[in-house]
Amino acid sequence: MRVRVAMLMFFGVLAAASPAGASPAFPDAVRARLGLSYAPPCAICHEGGRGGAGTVTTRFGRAMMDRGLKGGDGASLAAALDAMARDGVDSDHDGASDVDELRRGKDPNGASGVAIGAPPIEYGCGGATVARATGGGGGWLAALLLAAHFTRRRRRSGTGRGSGRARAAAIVALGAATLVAACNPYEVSYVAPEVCQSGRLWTGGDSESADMNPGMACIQCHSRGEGPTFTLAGTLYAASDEKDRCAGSNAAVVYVQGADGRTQKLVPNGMGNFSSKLSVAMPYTAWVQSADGKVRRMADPQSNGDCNACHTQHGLNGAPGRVVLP
Amino acid sequence: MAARLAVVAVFALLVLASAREARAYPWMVRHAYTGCAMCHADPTGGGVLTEYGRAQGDLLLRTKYRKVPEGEEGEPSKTAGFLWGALDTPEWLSLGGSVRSALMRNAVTGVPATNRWIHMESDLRAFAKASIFRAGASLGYLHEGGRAAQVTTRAKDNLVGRHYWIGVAFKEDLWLVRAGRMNLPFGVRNVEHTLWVRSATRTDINDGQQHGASVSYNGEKLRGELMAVVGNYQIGPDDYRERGWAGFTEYALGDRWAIGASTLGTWALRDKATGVTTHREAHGLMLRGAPFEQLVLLGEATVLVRAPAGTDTSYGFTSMLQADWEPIQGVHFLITGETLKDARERSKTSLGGWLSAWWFFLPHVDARIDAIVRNVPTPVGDIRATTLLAQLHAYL
Repeated sequence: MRVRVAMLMFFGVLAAASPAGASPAFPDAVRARLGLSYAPPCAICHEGGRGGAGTVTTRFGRAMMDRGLKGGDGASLAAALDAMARDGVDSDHDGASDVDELRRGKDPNGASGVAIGAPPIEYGCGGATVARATGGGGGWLAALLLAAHFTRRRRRSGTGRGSGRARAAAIVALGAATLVAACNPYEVSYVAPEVCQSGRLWTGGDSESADMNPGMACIQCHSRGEGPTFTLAGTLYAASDEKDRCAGSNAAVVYVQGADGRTQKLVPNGMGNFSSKLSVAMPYTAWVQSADGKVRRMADPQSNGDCNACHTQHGLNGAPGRVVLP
Repeated sequence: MAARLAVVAVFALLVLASAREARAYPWMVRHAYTGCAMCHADPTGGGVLTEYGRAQGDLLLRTKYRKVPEGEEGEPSKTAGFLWGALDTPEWLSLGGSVRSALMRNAVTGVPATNRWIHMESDLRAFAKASIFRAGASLGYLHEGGRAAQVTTRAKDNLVGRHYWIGVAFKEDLWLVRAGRMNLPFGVRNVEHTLWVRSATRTDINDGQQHGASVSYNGEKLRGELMAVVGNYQIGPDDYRERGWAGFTEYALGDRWAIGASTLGTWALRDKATGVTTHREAHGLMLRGAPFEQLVLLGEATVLVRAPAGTDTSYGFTSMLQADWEPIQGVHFLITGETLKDARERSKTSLGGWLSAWWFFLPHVDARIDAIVRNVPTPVGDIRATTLLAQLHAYL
């Protein structure tokens, strides 16, 4: 396993360091020619992202070469892309043409609907950084309760056949609860850049989690009687017009200074969500500061701690979209 | 391009050489154990030992430094039990565990030699049975590595759960139907889990387990298991989970020979190595046999099939042949040869050789030294990796 992970990481680094080998400008050229919001990875032509001469092995890449693509020749790339669009080439035979799939952020070589670009692999159950399973606590609690229940039953029934059945049931119940507890479904999906510029979307609905519903008005929802009561809460983003529930960023820290001069430091989690339960004297001022010292300050003092109520995708009440990195 | 492939090959060799934990002794066929279920709670081998397995481990594995008094030859010592007999377990519960560490020196063409200490495993394992129900689980700690078996989510210092399953046994354990996270039933369950026959098929017992359901049969002559693989739910996102099947069957020819066949086929939206939608298959034959008690031969030959979306199907091949000579009880000398032609375009055949010495010198404790040489052809010349590995292992 370590080999495969290492190879994946290594290929990723290679691809990032030297896109497309002999044709490093091609991803950007494809982006520009097709009007994409992203530069496609080398892997659409070079399987596994390993670039270089003679490594165009994917069907999409070969179809491009059949239409005149030459390594390092930008003009031939543009002509080949135009020919691909004209011919309606569908390399993976999923009914959508390669060019259409690229425009929708899909892999022209992949199974139907698979997003382009490989997301990082997350390891472990019950708490992966971005793809965190929830319900583990409930599962373990259920396991403990079942264990206690069956242990009591066993004691009551004494020895003999009854105790054997209880023990068997306890084993099955514990095993099942453990499986459920350990490996619940993940609640963050990797999505095309057209859906979320961050590439990650919260799909866990209203299940309780500090990762939940990034971008949505936290205090407004929590005031309905569920979840903790926050005085300040919001989501930090890399892009100013990111949609609701798309993952944010934790590449900076949010500072809030109350009218009494007391300052709170709010550290976003992996989904960009930040919050505080401490009281804050209104009106407050706020700023975002990155590790390298860059600062972005909010223009005016505010009296509403529910940041995402105004910092929506396009901004409300004069807010310029999301709370963003400096 | 060529230089890049060479660097990748060097890196792969470096990682390949950093062997991890292992725990199954298919060479017990020398003692006329063609199957595994007599000694292991997992009927396809490895993991927790049954009471009988503990007794046989004590009697057959370790070196005996003095002559056993007449009439006591078949009696295991008091140290055969869990924690060297310090803790009695009830009949329905079997406990076990394994602790293994190693010192490794690795030298690869063009790369400075490295020395590392690797803590390979520290696992506790349990198996319980009541009536027709069976359950097995393991939980351990790893400082690094074994990532696909992680339960916790840190980059280092994680809890690992390699297997956990529940099942129902029928006809006095002739049949077992179970579900959970299990070793993939494929090929010889070697201890040397970095052998290409294991790594290329992704069927190692370090962290190659997957979730799924299986049915196994453990007859006197015939045994086998077929597993429906639903993916490893200890990695995410779901794109990387492989779904399909894995299975093997093995037939005993007499007391000390067995031949078998394995099959595996999986599909993943994203292959873990390439990120590309991939269907892969592996189909192979295996052989275990002891021409005489001191010598055991283990062999495996597997065809690899790989069909990434958007590219043509490619074929490869991997094989292994190992001779295990035990001149004195508990002292093993092994010689192993292996080949790999990866199922990729233009790949050439890599060759590997292992020389190993292994000594079960105390109850539950063994030490092993391996010298491994692997040669991987690349467009810029052959890459050679030489590894020296010294391991100390104790099973609880």
